[in-house]
This record gives sequence, structure tokens and C-alpha cells, in this order.
Amino acid sequence: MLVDYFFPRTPVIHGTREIFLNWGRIAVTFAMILGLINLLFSNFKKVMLQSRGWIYNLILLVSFAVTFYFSVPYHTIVKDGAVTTLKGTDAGTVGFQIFMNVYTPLSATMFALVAFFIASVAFRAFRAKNIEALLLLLSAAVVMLGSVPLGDAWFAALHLDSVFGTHNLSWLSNFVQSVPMSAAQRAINLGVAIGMVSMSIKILGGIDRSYFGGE
Amino acid sequence: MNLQNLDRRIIFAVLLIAVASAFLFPRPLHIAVEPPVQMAYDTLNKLQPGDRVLMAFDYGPSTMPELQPAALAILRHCFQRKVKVVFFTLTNEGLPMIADALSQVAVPLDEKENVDYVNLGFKWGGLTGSSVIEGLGSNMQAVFPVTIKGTAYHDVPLLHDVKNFSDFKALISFSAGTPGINEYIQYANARYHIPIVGAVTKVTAPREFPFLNSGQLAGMCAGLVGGAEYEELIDHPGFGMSGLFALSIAHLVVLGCIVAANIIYFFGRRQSSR
Repeated sequence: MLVDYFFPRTPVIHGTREIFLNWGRIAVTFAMILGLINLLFSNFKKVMLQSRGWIYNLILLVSFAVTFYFSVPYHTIVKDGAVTTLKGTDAGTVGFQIFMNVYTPLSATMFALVAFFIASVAFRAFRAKNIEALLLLLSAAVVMLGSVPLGDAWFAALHLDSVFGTHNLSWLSNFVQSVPMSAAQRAINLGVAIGMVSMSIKILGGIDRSYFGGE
Repeated sequence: MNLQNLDRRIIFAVLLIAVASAFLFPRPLHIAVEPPVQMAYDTLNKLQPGDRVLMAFDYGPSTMPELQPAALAILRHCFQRKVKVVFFTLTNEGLPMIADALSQVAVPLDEKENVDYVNLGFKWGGLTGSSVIEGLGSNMQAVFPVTIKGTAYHDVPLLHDVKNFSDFKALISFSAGTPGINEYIQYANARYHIPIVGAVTKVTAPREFPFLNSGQLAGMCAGLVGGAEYEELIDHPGFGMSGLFALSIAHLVVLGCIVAANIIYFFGRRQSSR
């Protein structure tokens, strides 16, 4: 795989790479099936033994069975006399409805909870205790307000746009993100990449054997 | 009552009331299109009728409110330009996202499946999706021998002369994490030089700015605001626009929390120093 990057036009290397790619895809597909079987067995075992919280394991198994039944096989729908065969993930099937009306709101709710915790943490932890914290606070305020149209409206209402020429707060927010933040992000990316190369060489050269359980 | 240790349930309640009120009583806001979104629009606006693009829906319901507005707006723009779209996803949650986008955009515009667009479905490519992305770069048919409807690859008119990335003008990634836009930049753009346009969540946007500056990313819509800006560009307001006011209010509440906490902290410190 690695050699193919250096000799991209060589048919033998490219063909070998194709074989490896196919193997990779087959392996990860079986890994998914293995994970699924493991999930079912471990939950089934907990239900049978009535372990602590077994009711949740039962809910998972029932949810899995219902979703699997409606989502995986093909379904035949008769509408206005016309027969249509649909996959469980197609719009109009029960599987799709379960996904959009049960899973989607639950999943979105979980993610939306983050907003509440951010607000709480912003109140409890974001204190300007020193100059660095103050700078962080100010840049956060610029990016947060500049990311939404209301920030620009306020900026113009307070005539602050005249301070920055014709630029508005969203321009300032974009500047913070694309210049100083981008530079820092690039430095992090380079550091991570160099670290990965260094680690890979150590593993390939047998210098680091920690993945075998040794030192 | 010590305000520095204010019960967090009060903060939760304030945020809930503020956002709910914003949704109930929305106000129109003027929106300025930012350069990353304009770049995305310009890249796709240069496409000619009949050109093909790949569209990867690598997100799920949790990030749907942030990414779906951009996905719908970009898809609409592609169809308006008579560009052929090939869908796929590297995450199983992406399939209903594609189905939803098709039902909201392709069906009303009367676009024909397998002619104007085709859905290749989901393929798991490992944690980084690299085996699938690499495969798409060398032999797309080997990765997706059939479409999601079970139609053989060679029986799809849209895919007749399509072999790999070189047959597409752009790859549009709607991404909420890994595998996602970073992997397309690393594997598809770096090696096969296919232009990448993306829509990402607001929290992951900062890590994409270096790629945007270097030209490896041809344009980007970040979060709900990015989607709303794209809706503005194609002159088709949707959920992005309608959610902007609520988002603005949520940002203000968080900012208000920071300011209030610092005022309380400052006066508390002065009192204790006396």
C-alpha cells in the first residue's frame, strides 16, 4: 500500500494494492458482523442472568429485532394499485419512519444536550483570571458573536464597523479563524503527522514493541 | 445566595426559554455570505450541465440540524445546474440522510434515478474509510458493484463511462467527524487531485481552515450558518434561514453566561480582597 504511493503507475504494485484493498473491505465487513453477534450475545446473556439493569439490555434486544425486521429485508408496498419493492432504508418504508421519527429525535436530543452543558460550563469555568484567559475570552466572544447574523447587526448598531474600516464582526471572526487559529491548527497537524511518522518507523523497525504487550 | 455557584438548572432553564422563544417568535436577519461559503458556491457554479459530482453523506441524525440545510441547498444547486450526482456514504446513519435529501429535493424537481442521480449506498471502509476512498480512486465498480436498489453498476446509464475519481468534477463531503472530509482531503484530493467541497459541523470547522487556505479544500459551509448562507446564495430559504435567529439567541445566552460569570467573579474577588 505504501509503495504504491511512491510508484503509482506500476501495474504490478497497483494490482497488488487492489487485492489488499479488497481484503481490507472484506475484513472490515466481517468485523461489523462479529461486533453485531457480540452485541447480541452479551446482551442476551445479561437478560438471561437478570444482571443489574437487565431491562435495558432487553429493550436493546427488542429494539434491535424490530428495527432489523423493518429495515433490512426488502418490503413490498402497494399504492394506488402499483406494487413497489423498497429497501428498508428507502423513504416511505416503516424502517425509514422508525429512523426518522424515533432514532433521529433521540440522537438529536443527545447532541442538543451539549448546548446546555456548554452554557453551564461557560458560567462556571470561563473566567478571566489572567491575561491569557482574557485573550481567549475575547477571541471566543468575537468568534461566537461573529458566527451569527445578530452579531453583525449589533456591531453596526453600535457603529463599531467604522473602527474596523468597512469590515463587520463576521469578517473579524473569519479573520481570527483563518489566520491565527489556522496557524496554530497547522502547527498541531504537523506535530501530529511527524509524531505518527516517528511512531510508525519505531514500530516497523521493531524498536517499539509495546503493541505486543512488551516494553 | 452565592452567585458564583448558581444552580445550573437555572442556566438550563434560561437557555431553554430563550431558544424556544426564538423558534416561536422568529425575526428575519440579514445574512452576510462568508468567503468559505462563497468559494464553495463558486466552485459548484462553474460546473457545466452533464458534469458529474460525488456526494458523500457522512453524518447522522445528531448533526442533521447543522448539516442537512447545507446538504439540501448544495444538492438543489447541483440539480439546478443539471449536474449529475452520485451519492454514497461511509457511515450507516448516512443512508436515511440521503433518502431524506432525495425526497426533499430530487423528487420535487422530478430528477430521474440512475440518469440524473444514483445512490450507491453505504460501504464500511474501516475507522478512516480509507479502503473505500482508495478504492473509489482506482476502481469504483469494485467498491460498489451494485447500487442501493440492487441495479448492476454497468446497467446504470449515469455510470456507463465512470471508472474512478477522474470522471468527477468534484467531491462534496457532508461530514460530522471520522470518516469524513479530512479523509477525503488526505486520500482523494492529495492523490487524485479531485476538488473537495465540504459542509462540516461548526465545532469541526476550525481544523479545516488550514486546508481551505492551502487550496486543498475548494469551499466550506460550517454549521447551520453555512447552510443558511448557501440557501441565501441559491435564493431558496429553508431550515438554515429559519433556525438562524434561534442559533443567534443561543450564542447570546452562552456569551451572556460568560460575561455574567466574570462580573460576579470580579466583584467577588474585590470583596474578598477587602
